[in-house]
Amino acid sequence: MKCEEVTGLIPEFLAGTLTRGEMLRIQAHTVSCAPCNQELESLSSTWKNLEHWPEEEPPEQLHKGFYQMLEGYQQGLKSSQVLPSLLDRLSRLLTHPRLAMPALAALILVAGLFLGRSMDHQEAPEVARLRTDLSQMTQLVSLSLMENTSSSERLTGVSWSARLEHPDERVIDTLLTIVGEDPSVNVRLSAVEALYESRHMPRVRAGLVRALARQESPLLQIALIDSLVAMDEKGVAAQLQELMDNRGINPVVKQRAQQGLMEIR
Amino acid sequence: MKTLLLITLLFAGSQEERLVLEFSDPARPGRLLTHLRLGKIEIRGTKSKEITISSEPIFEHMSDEKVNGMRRLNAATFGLQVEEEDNLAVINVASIRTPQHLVVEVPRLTSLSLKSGGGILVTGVVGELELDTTEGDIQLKNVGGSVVANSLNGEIVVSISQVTPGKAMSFTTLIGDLDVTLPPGIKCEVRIVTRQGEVYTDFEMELATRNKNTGGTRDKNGRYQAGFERALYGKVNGGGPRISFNTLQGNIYIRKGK
Repeated sequence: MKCEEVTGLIPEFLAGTLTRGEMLRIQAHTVSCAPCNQELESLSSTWKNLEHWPEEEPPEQLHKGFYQMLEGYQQGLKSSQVLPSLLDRLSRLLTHPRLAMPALAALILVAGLFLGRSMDHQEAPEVARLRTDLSQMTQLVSLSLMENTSSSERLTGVSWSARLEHPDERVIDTLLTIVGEDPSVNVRLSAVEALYESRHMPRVRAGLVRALARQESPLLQIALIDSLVAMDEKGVAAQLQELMDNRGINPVVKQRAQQGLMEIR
Repeated sequence: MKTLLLITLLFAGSQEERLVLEFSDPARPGRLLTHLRLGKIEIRGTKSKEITISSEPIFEHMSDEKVNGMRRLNAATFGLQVEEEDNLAVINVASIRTPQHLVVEVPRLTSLSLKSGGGILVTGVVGELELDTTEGDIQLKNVGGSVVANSLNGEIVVSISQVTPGKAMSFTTLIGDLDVTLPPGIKCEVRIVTRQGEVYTDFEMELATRNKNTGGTRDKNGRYQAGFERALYGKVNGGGPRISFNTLQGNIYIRKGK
């Protein structure tokens, strides 16, 4: 088993969701590989600390959805000093290049397991902070991935940013830059999809209209037309007319532009 | 240790020469990058630590009476150059007039960044695979890792036997089918867009279309407009990183591997 494979599987290993065969292979690898052994040790001690959160009566109903689970968290967190040091360790995990994804997945898994209570208590301040910290971490991970030289990493970073409820300026700007300049069609397309989630923001709408003017790839042109028409952005009308008048444009794109003009009016 | 390795080869006549080299650190997976404007790229994964490069011209079949019985000489020469530094190997093919069939054998664990004017075939390679072609198909057989593939006009047929957890993937084509086989246990969320074509799958998927009515606005005349996103979303095995399928004209087949 390769080191990369092993570190990717550690969260599942700790959660006990691997098959017996996979667990044996991970153990066999870590016996002879010092760096992987260390990672396993440090992650497993973090895991054990999380188990010391207080037991609670099982609730009658569990809300679905991660953020809803956070909101339903009950304030009886007895050893509240556990939380700050945990967040510190988790933030170190989440900015570790290879562990960012599994760590984020582990965080979501653990938060789901331990915070899914629906009691009618006031939200504890620690929970509010945990929620902001989590979304900040998702932003950090996605920003750092989006600056990577590998298209695969940039694509992954963009898809993480699409999950943010309130992406900040840096994320929006990075996504708009990617739509205009990324060498990979796939990455540009995924950035358009991600920006669609923030279509209520005027700068996103204006940015996407500008992007349409500069795109040469027919797939991107169509995806942008689709998105702008779906968000009913009247500002795109001039662009659509230009695409229809321009000789060099792919006929399928022209057709889509014409259709779009009718849908917008 | 960084070493810059530069090998140049001139092809002339119909000789088939081979370039052989290794990554600077053969114990670590390397990356191969090449952009071939005219022709096809074929990559084969091997158990060897070596990278072996060879190229053959692709001739169009000529059935001219004047040619009858004569053999064709390849009068055009071209240069093939490979540079390697710190586990990144770049193949440059300079000034060719005839389309080439570039064949590269690489160690099985290698990442690929390939751009081709006419088709890409990859077999038996595991890594980050990024592929881009204008005309021609992209075919990946028995590969692993993660795939980002785009073809302007051509099919994408991919069979992935093992997936790097946590990585997003994307398959896009303007005109052409997308036929992707994924490992049965894969955890992902698929996003599917096709404007003219059907979608087939044998995975169990939790499907949803995102109709976000909360995005509606009321304009000055009091008309209420709500936009609908055209994509279909599906969770496979509980959900995970996003795998995007996007084609304008073409069918989409998402197959469950064995």
